[in-house]
Amino acid sequence: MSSSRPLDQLHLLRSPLTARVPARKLDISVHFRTHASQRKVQFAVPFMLRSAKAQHWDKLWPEFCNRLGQFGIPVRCPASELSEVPAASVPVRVAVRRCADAFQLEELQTADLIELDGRQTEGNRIQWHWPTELSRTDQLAPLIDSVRAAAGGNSPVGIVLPEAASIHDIQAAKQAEADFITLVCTTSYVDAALLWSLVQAREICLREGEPQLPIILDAAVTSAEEAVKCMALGATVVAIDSILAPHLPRPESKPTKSSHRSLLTELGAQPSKTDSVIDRIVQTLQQTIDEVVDWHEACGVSRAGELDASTLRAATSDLARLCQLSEWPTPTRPPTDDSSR
Amino acid sequence: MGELESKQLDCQHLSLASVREHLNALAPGSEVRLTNLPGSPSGFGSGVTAEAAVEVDGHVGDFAFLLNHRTDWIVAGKAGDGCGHSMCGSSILVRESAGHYAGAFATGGLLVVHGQAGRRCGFAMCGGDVLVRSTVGDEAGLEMHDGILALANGAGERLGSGMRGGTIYVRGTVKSFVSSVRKFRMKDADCMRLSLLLARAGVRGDAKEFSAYRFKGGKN
Repeated sequence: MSSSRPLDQLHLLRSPLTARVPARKLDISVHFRTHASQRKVQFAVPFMLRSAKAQHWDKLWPEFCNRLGQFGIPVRCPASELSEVPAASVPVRVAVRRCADAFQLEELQTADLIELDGRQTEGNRIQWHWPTELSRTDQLAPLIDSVRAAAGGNSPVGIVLPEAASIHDIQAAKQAEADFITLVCTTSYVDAALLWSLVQAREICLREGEPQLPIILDAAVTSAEEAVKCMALGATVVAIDSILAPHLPRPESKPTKSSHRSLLTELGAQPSKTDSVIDRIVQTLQQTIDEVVDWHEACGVSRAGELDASTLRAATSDLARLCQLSEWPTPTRPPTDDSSR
Repeated sequence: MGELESKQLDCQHLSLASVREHLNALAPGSEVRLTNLPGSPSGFGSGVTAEAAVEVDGHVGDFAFLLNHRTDWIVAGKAGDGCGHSMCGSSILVRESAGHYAGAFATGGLLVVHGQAGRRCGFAMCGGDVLVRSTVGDEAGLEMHDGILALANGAGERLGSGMRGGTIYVRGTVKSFVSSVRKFRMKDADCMRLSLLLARAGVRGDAKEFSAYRFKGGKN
């Protein structure tokens, strides 16, 4: 079954002849800029955690946030989730405003990045639309301007789009001068529709003269290799929730009131157990980052954002067409030989 | 909210960001009049945190005064769509008309529109007060949760659609309102609340001329 997944049918190519950049000189950090100011928000690594909740972590949450901060991994959560975390341990925070909610001053002013999310959940159904208060799509630009100003002018404001976003949707987000675009896939794996949207989004950025516009990919990426493939197709930042999922506390495993006592007793008796959760996560994060650095090195690129579709080969003709679409000129790399495809 | 006099800022050659910087540098309690505002700037007033009274001698565009919480504004002209969106304090007075979604998502503060307001005025209000002296478009008070929406010259179709809380006071004809909303007689508490709001907004009127509309339960 796994072979039918689009990402499994894409293969990264190592570049044996390209001069390798020593791993210590590789820079996989990514930068977000606003259209309104020169301030940059930097992520040390091209990853993001998008669904962590303090209540699942209980007392380990501050330590977990501290480790995320040390790795330079941003977390998408409300400001209230970080209220118990010491200031020095607070990681980069991405705030989200859903279209059915009011903007919150504290949320915006304390956020490093702001997402405008058009998702609305009605029962079990998720519906997508532009913020309800827009009478016309061209009002997206003034709304983004206004949000940016209300947040202090320095926080990048982005638009969240679904995996099935049309070219017009992506274009509208770009033309509204969104500082970044987030593509969300709700399926359990990265499907072709998402890859198509990703490629289209990067194409539009290139066409509109902003090839480096950050694109965040919120999808079930399960390994460093998959993350690198997505980056080659145009993603700037990839959600690593699925990579960390086996180690993250699950909502359903939250102890009941009666079992809470026994758990605490157990933790008291064996403190190493709590540490091991963090240790496993730190280990997984380090391993993932190392693998991403290795792939960058192997593909002959020195910076995040230099990976492109020329580093990919597709197993099927459909996917090959998709990959060809995603090629864009990279000044630091010589053109690849198309005959090798 | 009387007429302001004192300092004047000519905005002809200033960017919106510069105007914002000037205003944020004002001492608390300052009063300033902004003149020669170019066109109808979108997003005007957002990010202004000065505890000041500012009179705008012109029009403002879409999503003006988003998240306003400290500044008292008077707009001599018109306001675009989404005026006072998510406002949480202080006041905004628009002397002419406002566009659609005036006061949308407000959680506090006061928005007064002397002219007309477009569709979905008071959309998803969670608090605060919105008063429109002239007519409003359809679906006023859509998905309202809390706060007061006062309409001094009737309402359009589907008043209070999706409403879950708060109160809509209307003087004049309501074209239609949804079945989950019920019209109530004005009680003393209503009259007192509305009279205070009218006085605060500088609008003459007798609260007893209004009717109250509230969510009564059920589906819309």
